[in-house]
Amino acid sequence: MDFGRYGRELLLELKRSNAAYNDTLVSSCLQDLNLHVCALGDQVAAASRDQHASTDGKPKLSMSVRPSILLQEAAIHRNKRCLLTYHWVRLQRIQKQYWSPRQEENEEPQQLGPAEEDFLQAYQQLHQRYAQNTLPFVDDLRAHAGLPPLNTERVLLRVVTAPTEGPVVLASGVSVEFRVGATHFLPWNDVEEWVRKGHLRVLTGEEHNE
Amino acid sequence: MKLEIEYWHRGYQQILRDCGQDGSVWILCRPTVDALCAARILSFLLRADHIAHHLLCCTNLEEDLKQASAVATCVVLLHMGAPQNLTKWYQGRQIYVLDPARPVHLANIHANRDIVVFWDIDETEIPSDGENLSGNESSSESEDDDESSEEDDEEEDSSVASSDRDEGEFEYQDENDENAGDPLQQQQEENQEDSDDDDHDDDSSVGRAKKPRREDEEDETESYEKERDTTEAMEETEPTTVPTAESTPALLTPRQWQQDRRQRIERYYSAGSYYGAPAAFVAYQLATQLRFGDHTTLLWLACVGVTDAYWHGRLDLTGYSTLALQLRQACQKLDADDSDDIALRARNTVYAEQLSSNGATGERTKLSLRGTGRVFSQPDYKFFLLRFSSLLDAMMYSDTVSTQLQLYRPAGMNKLKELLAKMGFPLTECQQPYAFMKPALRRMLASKLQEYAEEYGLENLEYTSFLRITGYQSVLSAADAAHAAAALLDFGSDKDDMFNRALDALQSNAPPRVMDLQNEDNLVNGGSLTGNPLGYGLHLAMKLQKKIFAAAASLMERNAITSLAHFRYAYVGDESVLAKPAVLTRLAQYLFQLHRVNGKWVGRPLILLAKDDDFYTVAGYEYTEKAGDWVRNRWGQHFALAAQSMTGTFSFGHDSHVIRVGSDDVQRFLEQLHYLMDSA
Repeated sequence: MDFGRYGRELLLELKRSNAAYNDTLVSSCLQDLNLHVCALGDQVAAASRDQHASTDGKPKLSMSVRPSILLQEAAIHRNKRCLLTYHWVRLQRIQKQYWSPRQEENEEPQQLGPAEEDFLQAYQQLHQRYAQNTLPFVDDLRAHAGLPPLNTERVLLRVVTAPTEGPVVLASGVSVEFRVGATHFLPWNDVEEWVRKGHLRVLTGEEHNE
Repeated sequence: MKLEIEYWHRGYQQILRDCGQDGSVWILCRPTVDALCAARILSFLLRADHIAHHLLCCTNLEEDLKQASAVATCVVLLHMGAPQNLTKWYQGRQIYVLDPARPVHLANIHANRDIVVFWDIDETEIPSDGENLSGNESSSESEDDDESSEEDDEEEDSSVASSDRDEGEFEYQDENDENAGDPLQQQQEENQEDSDDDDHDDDSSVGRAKKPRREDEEDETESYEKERDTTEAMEETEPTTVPTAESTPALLTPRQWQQDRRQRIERYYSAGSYYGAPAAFVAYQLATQLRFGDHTTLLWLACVGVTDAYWHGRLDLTGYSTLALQLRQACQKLDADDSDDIALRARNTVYAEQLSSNGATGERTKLSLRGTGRVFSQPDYKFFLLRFSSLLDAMMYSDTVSTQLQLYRPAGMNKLKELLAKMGFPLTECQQPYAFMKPALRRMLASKLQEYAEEYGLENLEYTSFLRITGYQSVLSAADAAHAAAALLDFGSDKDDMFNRALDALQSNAPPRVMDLQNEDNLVNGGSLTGNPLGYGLHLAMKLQKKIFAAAASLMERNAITSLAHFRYAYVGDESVLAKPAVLTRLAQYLFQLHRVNGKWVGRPLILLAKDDDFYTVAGYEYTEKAGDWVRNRWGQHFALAAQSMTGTFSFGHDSHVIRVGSDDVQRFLEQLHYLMDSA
């Protein structure tokens, strides 16, 4: 039993590199976890036997075993947390690989294990099925990632850099003058190109919080 | 025109009619928390109705109005514009004003439908329409002077008259609008009907709301005779009205009537400035009159706006209690769990055992639902950011505790520690973040404070507050949100950046995390500028509160507050954040309370001066007998008079009691102010 050392190593590996799924380390961590669970069970059983042996009739664990029980419990929780964190972070990376296939120049490519490759494939198929069933005019959801799916909506925007100077009349007939930092609610058709170029940023409103 | 509270929805409907398919609304928003909350509510309403709109931070009203007039269908002003003569800058676009500042400029009230002021206070006397609505003429001028000044005023009033509508065109619009069910036209007609029943004097302006603006200056005799006819007609319907000199102009000559009217206008403006209901509350009331009364987010924004107005001295205790009661009722309506009705709460309680098919008997497990976004009202302590700092810090930086115990002195700190010790709270626990304090101690806090606080003179530690559930067992109070947003507005030099940060913080649903507010570098566990703006705002709020307290302590230790015959004044310091009017207001409130408690100050008002680049921000505050009271602020007139009577560089902002004076002129300005008050 290593009291959570394997879990810690899992996290360190996450931080260090984009290495493939470390099946060996995960197995060691699970094994360690199981050992602690068994040890805890044995200690509690032994302590319960001692209780029956006591004379006052009140069930009370001996003071000498309590720290050990607490330590086992802490180790179990630590292993669990580390395992969950490891898998959660790897899951996020897989999903990111789907949504942002273009990588930054300095970014190392994420290596995936066989199970993770299968997961990524299944994830892609799930999105494609969704797009086919609900948005027939959309070939790839990734082209609209983070952007409203419907062209007729008006969207809440913030001006990052002014795309035009002075007042301008949009195709829908709305007059607007873009000033850096201003917030606008405009038809999506009129501003889609500027959003894609990064001049405008889409915001969420209170209706998304309800 | 003024739009009474029960007809606010008509103003909004007019906005929808004006905008139609391709129009747009420009929302010019002052950088205050109240205005930001109102902006978010209004933007929500307009988004729900698919109306294109633009939200901008406005610091120069004249310039922004001119820019907006070129492109906007209509303009909405939030927390500004009411005391200024908007007709001077009006360029044919409808202007809607949600501003708590009073008194409202008479030109805005009498501007027909061009300018719509959302009205929440029933003024007992509003001078009638006519010349000199700015009240610039003195009442002692001769008739010849009156005639020459009429020509001068014509230039000012011509902006009112020359709204590019002659009488014929207005009548044409009248007919058209009547046929189309124009909401504001209906409102004007109702105003005119109501004015006959009003118990106003002959200068009631409501009945004249429908009359078109005259392009030519009307002969005084004609206007006088019309007033007399109107008064006689009103008197016929109200035979019980006791005739006085004011209500029976038949007894006054035209010159006397003119002088009387000038005096009434002068009284209207010289009574001092004050505030009505916060803009966020007005916007929420508007939302409830429409179909959005069941949105808790809008209710939350109203709570934050009202709380901000209270903490920044724009609402007295009575005003806050009144509005808080209405908001509390709204909370109970939206959430049965907050109801006082125990039976209703019991009916809405869910137990885990009910969800299983076997329906186990015996002890049941109450399910605590996620409830994110729920708003409820409960008494809360006037401690500063209690949920995000330690109990010791929250009490140390609370205005109430700090002033009562005089914590700027070592003896005061000892008293606080003694109080905590008597309550049974170890100092180490009190220095822990409150969320990490032992649950047993947190449960004891209320009862222990009740037992021991009075002994140390700590009264009124609680007030009705509003809280929102931001996550599982994570709660944010309206005061904390208001302080955070205000701090984001006060720190930083780029006004648009500050504005947007605060706007995002108010919208953020992410729970701000408990963080170490002592360590300014440690934002890892708390808010970052990009990650959690609300958390960062809380961090800045504590920083700002410490600066305010430090500035006050410094002023007192150095004896830097100078007393003159008519006022006290003090130079606050060089930090740019202290030059913000909202920060100066909090500092002034803190100084007043500190000296009320130690009995050193009685009666004299206070002027604070803070350096801001090449200017000084000069702010005047009236003294009140008790904390939470409010008296009308007359410093706007004093400042204006002093500025007019000397040469120098001056600039007025949105608040009349704040003026910016050039660095080289500030000392002379103070002397001139004192001289004028001495000779008055």
